[in-house]
Amino acid sequence: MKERAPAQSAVTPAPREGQTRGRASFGLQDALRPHEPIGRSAYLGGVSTTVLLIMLSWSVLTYGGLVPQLFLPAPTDVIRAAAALLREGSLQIHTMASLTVILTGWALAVLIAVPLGILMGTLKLVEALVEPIINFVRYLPVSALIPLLILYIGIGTAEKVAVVFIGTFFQLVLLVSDVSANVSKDLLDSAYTLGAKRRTVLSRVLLPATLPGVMDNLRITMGWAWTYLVVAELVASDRGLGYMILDSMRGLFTDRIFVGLLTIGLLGLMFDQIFKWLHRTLLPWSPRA
Amino acid sequence: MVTQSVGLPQLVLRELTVTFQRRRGGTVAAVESLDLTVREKEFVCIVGPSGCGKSTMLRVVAGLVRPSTGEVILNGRSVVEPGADRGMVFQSYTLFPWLTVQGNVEFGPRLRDVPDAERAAAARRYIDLVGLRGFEQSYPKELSGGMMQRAAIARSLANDPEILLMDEPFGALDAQTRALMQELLLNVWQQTRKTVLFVTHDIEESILLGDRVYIMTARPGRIKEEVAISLPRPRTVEVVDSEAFIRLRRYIHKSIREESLKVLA
Repeated sequence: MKERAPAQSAVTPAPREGQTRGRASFGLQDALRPHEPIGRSAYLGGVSTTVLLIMLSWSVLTYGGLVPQLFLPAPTDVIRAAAALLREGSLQIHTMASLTVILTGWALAVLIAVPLGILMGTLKLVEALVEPIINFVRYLPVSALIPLLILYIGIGTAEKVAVVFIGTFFQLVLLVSDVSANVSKDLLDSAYTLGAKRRTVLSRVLLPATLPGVMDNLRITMGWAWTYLVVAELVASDRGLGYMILDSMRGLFTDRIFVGLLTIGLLGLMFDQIFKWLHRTLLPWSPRA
Repeated sequence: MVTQSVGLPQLVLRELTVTFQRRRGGTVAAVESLDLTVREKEFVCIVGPSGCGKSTMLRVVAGLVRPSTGEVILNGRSVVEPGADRGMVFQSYTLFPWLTVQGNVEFGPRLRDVPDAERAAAARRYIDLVGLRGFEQSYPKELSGGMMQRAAIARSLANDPEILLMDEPFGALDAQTRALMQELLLNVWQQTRKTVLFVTHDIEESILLGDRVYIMTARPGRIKEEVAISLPRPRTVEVVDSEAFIRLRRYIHKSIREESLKVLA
């Protein structure tokens, strides 16, 4: 009994308006069709085009002397600055300081927000208890709390961890609660009709059903955590990438500012890839893996 | 070869009424003083206009919805909560996405701590029965809609329920797949002889599958009439071309049409 779509037939007529073509070969016409998949090489081509264009305009602007070095240092200047910072060891120190803070604050938030969010999305009682507070605090920008946090705990690592924690926690609780509230009722009901009791349904059905959504939100909030961290480091700090950027500005070392920005961007990219890899590896069954 | 194996009443719904609270106060009745009986090894279908409360009724039998008044009695016991004695197949895809086909089929037996070997043997048997051999280790995301519903049927059967409740299980499938699934279900039923209560809005489906068809009234749903389907078994899809089938279809169609019009009027 075959119900799956038959394999692409040997003869592929040219696709007409609105048709999908199942082959790798394609022209520009195919690439401009909404939601249409394109080949891997075409995709990588798009990526490298963008990267090359940026590098090219950067080079023209700087080496061509169109923009003063104070505003935009040349690529080689940035590389030289990065090498110098690495030699001094300060880039490593600042990166480690930022990483320590972000991972601590984010992990603490995850540890509490994920279970709380799941309960909130599942049990109306927990929702009633928690939601008003969370919805209130959520709209307070964390940056507005920084002065208060400095007053309470100073400008050390603890204050930055607190900023990252607060910034991540309240958003994550709501995101996770949404994930668990959206678990299909029929999925839970079918577990009941298979003989599961309430506790089992919670641990063996609801919990695994939330994992892909939770994983997505971990990735998203990690991105936000960087913003909060850098804001905190810019306001008051003596180490971290945000501090490095601020300190470089004071000395008008624009090339060092760019090193800081690039490092933050690359770390963000790295975390994103790690989360995507974790999703594929830990949840191979997930439709989004 | 008529297999009118009239067994003892296995499932009895007595004076069943289900009312829901309206959001702005007041109540609305989904099902009103509904009576029906399903006998042992019988395949009973319920058809009715959309929104007539047939799914609600089935969820009451499953123990997922509490009736306002009346009761559901299965093998002499009153139904108060969901249990493994009543398997249910839903219209939506409800396989657990994190479990393979085999993991899904073994879900029920695992809850009851059935020994490994016995559990695996049961899983193999029902996976074979629904024609999914070779897909034991596939995740639901790798299956088509029809295959997912077949796995869901195997998952319910692996629990060896006293009755199988089916809530428009083929409603989301395309016409060709649905026809294949009906044939498969006839086959499975012929081999397992489970008691089945099957809800559908597809009249042909109800005649093809059922020993008896209950027609429900428009909301609030109650039983309008009961039609015995004395088509010979084992049945195949060819039966839909027979004169007896066409007569039954015309009759039930007319009966439901009267109900649908009531809603519009």
